[in-house]
Amino acid sequence: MASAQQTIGSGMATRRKKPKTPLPKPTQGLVGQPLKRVEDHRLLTGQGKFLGDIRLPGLSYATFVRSPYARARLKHLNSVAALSLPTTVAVFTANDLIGLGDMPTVEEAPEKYPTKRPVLVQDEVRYLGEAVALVISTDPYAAEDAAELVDVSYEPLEPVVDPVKAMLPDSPRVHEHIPNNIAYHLKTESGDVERAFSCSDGVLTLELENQRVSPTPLEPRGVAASYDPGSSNLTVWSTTQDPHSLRGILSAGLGLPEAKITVIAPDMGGAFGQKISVYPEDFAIAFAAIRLRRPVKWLESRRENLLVGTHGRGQVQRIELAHTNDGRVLGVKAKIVSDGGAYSTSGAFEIPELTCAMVTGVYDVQDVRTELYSVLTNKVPQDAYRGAGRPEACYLIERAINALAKKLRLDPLEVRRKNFIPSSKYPYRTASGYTYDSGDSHLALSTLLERSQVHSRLTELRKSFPDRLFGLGFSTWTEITSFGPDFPQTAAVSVTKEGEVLVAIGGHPHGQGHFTSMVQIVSDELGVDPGSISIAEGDTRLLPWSSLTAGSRSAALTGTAVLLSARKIKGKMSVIAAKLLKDNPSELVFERGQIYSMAKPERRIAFKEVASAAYLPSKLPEGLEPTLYEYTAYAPSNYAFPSGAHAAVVEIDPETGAVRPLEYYAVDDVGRVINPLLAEGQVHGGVAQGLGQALLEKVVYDRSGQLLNAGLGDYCLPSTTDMPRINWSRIETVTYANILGVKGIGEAGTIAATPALVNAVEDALGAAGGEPLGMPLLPELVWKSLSSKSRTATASSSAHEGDRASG
Amino acid sequence: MKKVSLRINGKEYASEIEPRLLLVSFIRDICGLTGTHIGCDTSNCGACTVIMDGKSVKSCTVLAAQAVGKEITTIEGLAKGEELHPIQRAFWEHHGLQCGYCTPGMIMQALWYLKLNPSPTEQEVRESLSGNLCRCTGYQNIVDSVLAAAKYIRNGDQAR
Ligand code: FES
Ligand code: FES
Repeated sequence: MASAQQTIGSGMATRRKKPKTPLPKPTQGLVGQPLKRVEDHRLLTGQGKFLGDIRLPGLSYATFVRSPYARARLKHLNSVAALSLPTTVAVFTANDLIGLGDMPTVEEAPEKYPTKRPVLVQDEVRYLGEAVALVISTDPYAAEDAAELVDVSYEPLEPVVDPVKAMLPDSPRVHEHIPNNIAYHLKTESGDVERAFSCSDGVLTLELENQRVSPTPLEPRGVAASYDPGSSNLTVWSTTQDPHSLRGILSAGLGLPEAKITVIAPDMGGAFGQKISVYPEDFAIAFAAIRLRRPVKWLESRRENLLVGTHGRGQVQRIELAHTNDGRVLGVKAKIVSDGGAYSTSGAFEIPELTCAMVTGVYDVQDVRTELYSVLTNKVPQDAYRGAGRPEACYLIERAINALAKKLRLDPLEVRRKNFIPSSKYPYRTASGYTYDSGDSHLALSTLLERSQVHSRLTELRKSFPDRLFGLGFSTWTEITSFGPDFPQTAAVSVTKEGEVLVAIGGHPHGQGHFTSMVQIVSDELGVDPGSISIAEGDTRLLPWSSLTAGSRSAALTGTAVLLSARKIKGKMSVIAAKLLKDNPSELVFERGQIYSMAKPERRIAFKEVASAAYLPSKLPEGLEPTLYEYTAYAPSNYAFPSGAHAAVVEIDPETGAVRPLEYYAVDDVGRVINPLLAEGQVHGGVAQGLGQALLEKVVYDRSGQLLNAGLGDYCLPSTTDMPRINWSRIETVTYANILGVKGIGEAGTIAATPALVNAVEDALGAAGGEPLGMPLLPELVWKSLSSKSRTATASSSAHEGDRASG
Repeated sequence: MKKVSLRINGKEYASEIEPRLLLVSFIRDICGLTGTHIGCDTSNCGACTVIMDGKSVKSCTVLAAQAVGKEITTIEGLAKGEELHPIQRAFWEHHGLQCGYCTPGMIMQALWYLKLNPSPTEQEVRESLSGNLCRCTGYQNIVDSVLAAAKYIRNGDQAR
């Protein structure tokens, strides 16, 4: 079955060839338009309400006392001096947390070990910065003073830092009950892997490290809590992507019914996965507010954020490709050792599982074996970072394809084309059991080459500056979005008597622009002015349940839940309007604040008038419930799989080894786009993070488990001068994953950019390539690689066109 | 503790402060002007940028006591009622913000720079903002916003 597709310029309207069923037609057509954001005015004028901006009567301020060791026995803790300050309200240690449960862990299963993670350490510290005490003061500066006065002594123990060495029998154990520190072991196999390998002409083996990085949202984390003893209601404000889950987990930990807990996620300065998991600070602050009967607030410092905010990535990877001499991949074996950190968290196990599942990328190969070791180390737990498992998979396969091309002296694009899943094979069932909904990698790549003209750009650059080193790298990517059956997204739409529309959405957007895209969907469906629509989110009282904002899933899931709720409203209003117009409800059109039938467009009634009627039971058709409120929980049974092709052009300064990204091109298939302005913004930001990992970022631990770069002076985020311009455009294949036809865009750039940039640097190094490059590609590393060969060799190999690696 | 008075957005704010109090804490906690943000503890991120006597400063790196007698402008001092400053308008029109956390600092830095150089090139804008970090946008739309703002201001839009 051929998927319908065509290419679309950035921001241009969408046209399709013969979809199987007609997609919903917008009445006013705001969907697809680059509507400017409705959420911006507050943020532009300094009126955002972030966690740090929350003020409560009688507010007290918390600071945590944190371990300076990665692994140590807590010997002795004395808080007398801290308590002697007049500003100190309380000091809590593990012994004071009476009745508070431990942090959540995974369920026990064969080869899967849960761990006990305390809120405050009682005996053994397992990662640097793990909290041993909580200090609360009347003033934030005084809280820091008091924390300094808490006297703690430790007996340092030998930490487990390297995840590969951690698996050796003589390694110390992070948890005594977990042999070889392997907390989770998973093997998968499909097809006939041994046969594929024995039939092949050769095997390409590549070992890579996908380094641990910090998501580093510009706003660090924070929690505030306030308890009302009269009603025993607890309100928790938290920087979280997942307010309802936090409510449930707090309920279990505190022993307070969920119905008594409200979680509010205020404006949030980015998250990128780091604000998904529930943290010890959430538990501790809520507990303290209840105990002290006064509101408590904690704001994470940047240093703490880098130390104890979850890190992403962190995999040692090995891949083997069984191949033919002309570059066809017959079979894949992949082994992932994941640096899970100190505790068995679900994130640390599920994320590398996704890497295994997606390791074949956009390539048609069915004989696949994967093996995952989630290893515990004395580091902060690993969790999601934009892409969560898929960037690691894309990096591995896209580097491996280039290495294969180099081995066989073929053009890496030729090897890609030879192995792409042909568009005729979609929906395509992967070896790992997923069904790719739609895609066309051949089209994405040819569109990229045609629009960017990167090959001639490179030739031009090399001709104009023969003494300089330029490189071109590609990646052809895919990922899973629209996570699915067990993660419903919810939305409610209501209409007031005045005809104003209120939309409540679950999860918690934090920069994606959901207010705008949801307004577009509702405005089209109900035919009302965007200005009459308000959106509310980030408060567990708004909706009974919702899952998180993550995984490029909000447009698809929240968007569909919003659309379905708006449709239910429309259905009910049609019945009321039909009575008032004496017409047939099924033929009514909602447009520009008016409702009328196609047959008699001159007889119309205002949307507002119908809304008012809904509140007057006497005016309603019999049996219709008064008021207008509709709710939808949406959980699709399948996922969506966006894909695309990216290209990077880089320059290397041979004197210093510094890499300068010059140009970046991307052609993505993300299904239908609700707002191209927002979608493109997601790609820009995603590419910046992918570039950060390729060129700049890594959390650096020394052998004693000390984090050497816990500040933004040393943990290097890309800045304005590190970023090239990004040229983004799209192709579109039709997906039936959801009725909006959207696939998700949030992680595309992060996934694709890292391998494209590293491949570009390898290309620029030309014949240098001995050892495969590691990340981040700091000048020192590149310079060393360069100086291991003569400049003359570089110049001659650089004269070749494009990403060609010589062996 | 010492009583000081600071002039922020044309208004006097008096308070008893400790000598160690940072300007950013004075602005946020004492004046309640929470549009100025904090993103780091090492003067790297620029989220706290304000204008002090016509120059951009990172308010986490200035003591409140050092700001006595100076004229401070924060993000709250830019718009005239509902009417956005041209730089704010340009950020809106060019989608120059996502989460909005870096935005006040970016705008204040651009405000200072465009006074210094009303017709900057793209590279100059990039360099002028290189001390302000953004984790969301990849900077392209921020740079485009500032270039557009420069044009609005040159064409006579109100700038303060
Ligand atoms: S908070 Fe001032 S530079 Fe980061
Ligand atoms: S918009 Fe989020 S940090 Fe810049």
